[in-house]
Amino acid sequence: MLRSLLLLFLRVLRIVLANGAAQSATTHTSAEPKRKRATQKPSRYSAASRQSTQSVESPSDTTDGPAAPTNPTSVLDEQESAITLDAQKATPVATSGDVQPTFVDGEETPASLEAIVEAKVAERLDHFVERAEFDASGVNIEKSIASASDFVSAATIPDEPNYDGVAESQRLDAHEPESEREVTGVFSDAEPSLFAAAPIVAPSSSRELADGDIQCSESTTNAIANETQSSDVSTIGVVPVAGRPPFSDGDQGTDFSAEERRESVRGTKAISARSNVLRRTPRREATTEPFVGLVTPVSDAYSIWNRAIIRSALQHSEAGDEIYLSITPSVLAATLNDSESTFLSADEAAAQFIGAVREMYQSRVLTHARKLETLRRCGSDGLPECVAFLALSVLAAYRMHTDEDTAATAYYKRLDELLCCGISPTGMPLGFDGDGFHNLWAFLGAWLSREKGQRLAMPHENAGTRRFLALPLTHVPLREVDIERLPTFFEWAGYAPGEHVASDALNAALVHWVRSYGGFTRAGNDALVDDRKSAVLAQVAQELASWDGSTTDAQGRRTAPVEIYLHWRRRIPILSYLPRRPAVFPATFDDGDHILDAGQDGWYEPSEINADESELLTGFSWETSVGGLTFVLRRHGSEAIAMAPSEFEGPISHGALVMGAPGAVVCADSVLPQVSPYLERITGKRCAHQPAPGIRAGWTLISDVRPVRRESPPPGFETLAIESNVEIVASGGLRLGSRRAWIADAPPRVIVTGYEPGDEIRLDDARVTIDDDGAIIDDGRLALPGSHVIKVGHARYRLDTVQPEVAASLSERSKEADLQKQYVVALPAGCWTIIGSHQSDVARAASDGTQRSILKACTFRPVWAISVRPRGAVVRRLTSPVPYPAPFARKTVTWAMSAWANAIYAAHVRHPKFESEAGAPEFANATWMAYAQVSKNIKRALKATRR
Amino acid sequence: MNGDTILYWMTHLAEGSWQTFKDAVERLATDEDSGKLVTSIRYHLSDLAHADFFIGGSRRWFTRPPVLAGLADRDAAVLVGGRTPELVDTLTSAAERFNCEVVIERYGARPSAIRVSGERTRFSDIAATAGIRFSENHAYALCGGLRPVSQNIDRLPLETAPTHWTVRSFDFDSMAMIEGLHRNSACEYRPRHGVPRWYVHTKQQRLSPLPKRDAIYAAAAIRGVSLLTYEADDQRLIAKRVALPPEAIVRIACLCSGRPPRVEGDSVYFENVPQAVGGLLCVAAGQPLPKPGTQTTARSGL
Repeated sequence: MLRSLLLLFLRVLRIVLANGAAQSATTHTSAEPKRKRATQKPSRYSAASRQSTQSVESPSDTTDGPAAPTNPTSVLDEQESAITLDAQKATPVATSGDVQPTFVDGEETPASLEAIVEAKVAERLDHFVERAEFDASGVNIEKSIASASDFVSAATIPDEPNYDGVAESQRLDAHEPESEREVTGVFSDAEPSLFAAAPIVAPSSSRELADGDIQCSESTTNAIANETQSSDVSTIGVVPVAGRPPFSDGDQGTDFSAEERRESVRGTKAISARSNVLRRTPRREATTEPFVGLVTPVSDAYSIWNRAIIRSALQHSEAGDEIYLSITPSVLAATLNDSESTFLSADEAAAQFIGAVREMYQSRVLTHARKLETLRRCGSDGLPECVAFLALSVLAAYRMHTDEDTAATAYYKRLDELLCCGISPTGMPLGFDGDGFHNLWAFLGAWLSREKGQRLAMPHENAGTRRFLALPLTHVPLREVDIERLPTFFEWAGYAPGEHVASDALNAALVHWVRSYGGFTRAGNDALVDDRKSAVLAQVAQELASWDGSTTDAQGRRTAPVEIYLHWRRRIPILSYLPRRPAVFPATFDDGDHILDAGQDGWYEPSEINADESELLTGFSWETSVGGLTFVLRRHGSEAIAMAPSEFEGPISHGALVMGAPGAVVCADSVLPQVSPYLERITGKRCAHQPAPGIRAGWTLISDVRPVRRESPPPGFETLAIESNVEIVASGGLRLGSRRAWIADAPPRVIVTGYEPGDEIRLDDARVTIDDDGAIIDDGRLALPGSHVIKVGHARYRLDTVQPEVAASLSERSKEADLQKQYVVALPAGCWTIIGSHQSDVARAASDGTQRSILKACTFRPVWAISVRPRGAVVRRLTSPVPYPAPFARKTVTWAMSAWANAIYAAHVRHPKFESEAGAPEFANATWMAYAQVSKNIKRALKATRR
Repeated sequence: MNGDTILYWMTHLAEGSWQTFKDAVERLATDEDSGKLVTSIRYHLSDLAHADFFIGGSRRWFTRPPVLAGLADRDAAVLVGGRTPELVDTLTSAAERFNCEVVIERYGARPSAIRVSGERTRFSDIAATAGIRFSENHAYALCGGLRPVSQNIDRLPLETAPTHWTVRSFDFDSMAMIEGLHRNSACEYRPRHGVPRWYVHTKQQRLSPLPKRDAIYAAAAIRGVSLLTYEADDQRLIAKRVALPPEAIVRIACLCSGRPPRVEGDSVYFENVPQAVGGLLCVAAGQPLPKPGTQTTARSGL
């Protein structure tokens, strides 16, 4: 009933709207000056509009040539398909903001336009009917009607176009790669064929261009071409707008996404240069109000990722900090590992994350009329539900410039690859819209500000035409091509995987590296020196936290460092090589001289050092190839090696000594006079020296080095500098794999290093103290099952204590064991026939000349082993008690039955000698007779069969 | 140190590298000699079928599934494979419910043994209640997986001797390692860094890779040296302390009694080994089959 009423109402509206559209067209034609833009909201139900599309002139009919840019037009509509009016002919022309026009040989056909309008009308009608039904089912029919009325109001033609005419020359994309040269061109009119011949002018002259000319950089045209997935830029028409470049962002903030630009250029090309109607709407204010309504619940997997990403983003920040969602595959892996104690490789983590968000997007966003708005709310855990989705949008941005199949800057194409939902006519993934996307970021920003007192990193207001794209790009200033270079930087800086480096120190090192070695691509280097620097540092810090220690050299070889590990056995120090084992490295590293097996996750097993003096001094490199890949374990030469606390029992080599942490130094004897006084000064005591174990001569081990005061190291010994990063290291205990989880009976010892005296150390929000070794005195709290969080200043470390469970794989193996029953028999050398109680249970066993005895496995339970020899037979009983034979009742005799009977019969007629390995043989005589009787029956049956 | 904690940890993980096991034991060891303790716990876990080590030449351990293993003494069973405190509690409760008794036998720093005694017909019910499998005659069931070391020699791939590695051989006269490569013997090659490899030097003077114990028994089979004794009257298997049988054989021998072997002097005694199982073990070790009701004694075949 409600549906019928609403349909009737909408039909009436359609008629009214059709009349209105015709009137408006006439009004604009007469009232607007020739070059003034008129914009019209769509009149979807207008019959006139459909008729009007029949009279669209072809571009060839309307183009006046390059010298006459008198009617520059860009027909743009952000949200809805529009009917634009030809200013000269007063002919309504259908263009599309979100409806893709169809082309025949590059030209839009009237028929296709009509079809588009028809489809759009139907789509919108269904939409309102759907909303009406929804409202009627639970809310208010008036609301539906009001909503429909709003739609109709919006569809009416405004009296005055709202284009402000403000010119603005701007860079299309602040994040363009270095490959995209900024060459500015002036294109006159919209004649595509003339673009190639357009004169080149300096960017600064853009504001001086005459009306009708546009400034369009090469990168702009490239970007447009990329985003339209077109290989031929010249086929794209760009319609000049008086005094301003196309697709630019005015002061009042017209939102033109890349796809919107694409739509505009396509539509313009089809319509002609004389169609100079531009509709601009003011930039909408972002909505931060939570969405209220019925939504599909998100999956557990999505909730886990959502929670993990929020925790990860907030863990090293304080009130007032700027928060970045720097999401890359390795960051995802580290995030999940840290938050949920689940260890996955970077690729696995990314795949799981994408799958979780994709499932959520398809089940919630695509199925709801309000699409992205449904994510603008907090879940039952009080956290914004949009975080994981926004993180996915960041991941899509990170993947730009990564493959040759897709243009480097095609963002929405990559977003669709992740969401797998298909591209809508707007060029965006289905269900995606720019404003809704912006609102989600704004909502998250408001939540962070309100709940945590923190600021979400957002693009500048003048982000330009890529306002929506700038949102995720803000969080990944370094793309994959730059991120891949970071391991080289980490190795150069001497950082250890997972290390947390203070922002200032990281900045200094990064700038130094970029200046010395070129560092990133040009775009990456630019990001480091402009206002995106803080984002770059946040991203680099995240990558360092998730780095596995491997690098790839110029030859494509994967390399990993070999650390030095000091531990004690019966109070005797032992130095070992401890190679790192990134996930890609083989489980066994074998270069002929060195065989190293995978040890604790991320490491090979330590191998005691047995080296001469020069090995550590000059460094070494061990290389092996597996499956066509070359893997290298290497250690650079050094005269002095600093060691710091580690997850192992003793310290391992480190880029520097750590303030307040028990460490050690191994150095060549030749530099001992310089190193020893320095260590005495920074530790405030005389450190114990002894010859380095495992090194034949010329090296000294200085143990118990705990820096208590800061001092610059002697020149050339920067590796012995003192760093004061706060580090929380869990050492000892029984760890459950790579997870930060320990068994309840054996919790770890948590060591805090690099903290300042005033720093507060908290375990589960309770203040704790530390002992002389820097270990937290937890009073047994870490042994209690559950999650525990240690906080020291900005540093945060979460670990779980769990009760042991039987691993699932053990249960599976137990089931397999049930299926694998096999019996085995030991027999003296010779030829034997083994038989069971059933007539088909027969097997043969024979020894070769060298065997002293036989071991024979069979699938049935063996009862007798029979050996018929020239001088008699031997029957060996194999089980006790002996089961009676199964009765013979079959008329047909198989080969196995025949063999079974023949063996027993042949032994029986020879009066066999009985042996036993399972008790006294005489007790089995009666059962043997039963077997003999069954064998006779079988032979009789066999004989009868032959007859 | 409580060895049970190590077993709980292994049960939770199901498998891991040898280094993680070694580290785990060393972390829990206090003032004891952690090196010896690692070896002691490793063999205890293997002998009582809690875990497998170095399977297929790997440097890894694998926890075995929890099973209530019936012993040769028909009124007793032991819990083998992995276990957790919760599983032990459940098993104890189930045993009480079915009028059986659970005894925890402790072996110092090594994991304890959970022994169930009572009416054998109730064992399957107890196991089912605890959610685990009951194996009627577990020692004999494990014999199904035995492969004679002498058979293995012929099937093994032949390898060339590693270069630049030092080599030692097991001498059957002195029952000790001697430097150099000797014919028809078990030999150990040691690299400069990393783990050593064991080979058996065959009659064709070629090297076949085998685990240490298997290599010694394979060499003994080639040379006709007896290293195992089975006493049918006492139902016990006796091995030399310096030349213990391969781990699969020791495990089966231990599971006949549900206890680790008893060490006396230079010999190691495995008790309550039925003659059928004893024969299988001897043959699997490349030793002659004991005669029924008779006693075979170790002798030098050289």
